[in-house]
Amino acid sequence: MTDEEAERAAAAIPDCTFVRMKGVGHGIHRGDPVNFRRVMFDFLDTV
Amino acid sequence: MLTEKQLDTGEMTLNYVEGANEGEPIVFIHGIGGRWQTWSQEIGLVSHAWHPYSVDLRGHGKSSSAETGYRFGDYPRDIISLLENRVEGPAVLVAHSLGAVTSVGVASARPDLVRAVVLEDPPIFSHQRSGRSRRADEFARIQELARLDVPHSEMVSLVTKLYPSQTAAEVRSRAIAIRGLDPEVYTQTLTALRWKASTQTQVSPRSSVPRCSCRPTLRWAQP
Repeated sequence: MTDEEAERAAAAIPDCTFVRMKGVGHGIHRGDPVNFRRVMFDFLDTV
Repeated sequence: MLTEKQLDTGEMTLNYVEGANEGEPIVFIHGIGGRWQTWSQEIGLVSHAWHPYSVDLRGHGKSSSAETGYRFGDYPRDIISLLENRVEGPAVLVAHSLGAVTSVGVASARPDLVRAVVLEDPPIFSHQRSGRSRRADEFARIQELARLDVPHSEMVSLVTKLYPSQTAAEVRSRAIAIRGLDPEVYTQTLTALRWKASTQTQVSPRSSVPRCSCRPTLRWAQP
């Protein structure tokens, strides 16, 4: 996603948590697995 | 311990794996060209506290092809069928790219089946983006490879040329995934990419997003 697309999605999705991951491509969970999992587990702890 | 299973949705046969029931259900969904194993490491990490599932989307992995097509609006029906028939209680969906758009479609159509969604770089709104020829070229090449009937070793060689910077393990995994692909998976997406207009209109991510009433997290990449 581009920043613009992400901002539009952020505006469109209700009750949404946004995380921007820098320095990684489209395949985030393979490109930066440590940070992806940290964010995923932080979120799963809240649902 | 994961058990591989199949579900006849009435439209196609969905292949998926199910882990032990240690908590609430969580369903992992891969992106275009992937397979359930895309999420194998994350499945292992949640297995102690969740009831994990991971699917092969239609036309991918060991799931069957689908004569009804591969538009964005076609994929959610398969996941809804899985949630209705094989998953107890509303599930968390963790999904990448095409899988993320699919999750939006599922959550929009059946919010009662979805507890929350994790959307990894979903191509929402990206059909309006210009200058997307690089991705189109990559997808076209993958589609060509998927049409080949070649041994695994030859596919590995071809995929290595396509992704020279990837590790041997990543290339092997991609080669397996491509050999399991229905090439038609890419037709609709390539049409949209090449003509810069979405032909995938049955479930428009744009119009579906506001109807998501489950709790989502959205993450996107900035290379």
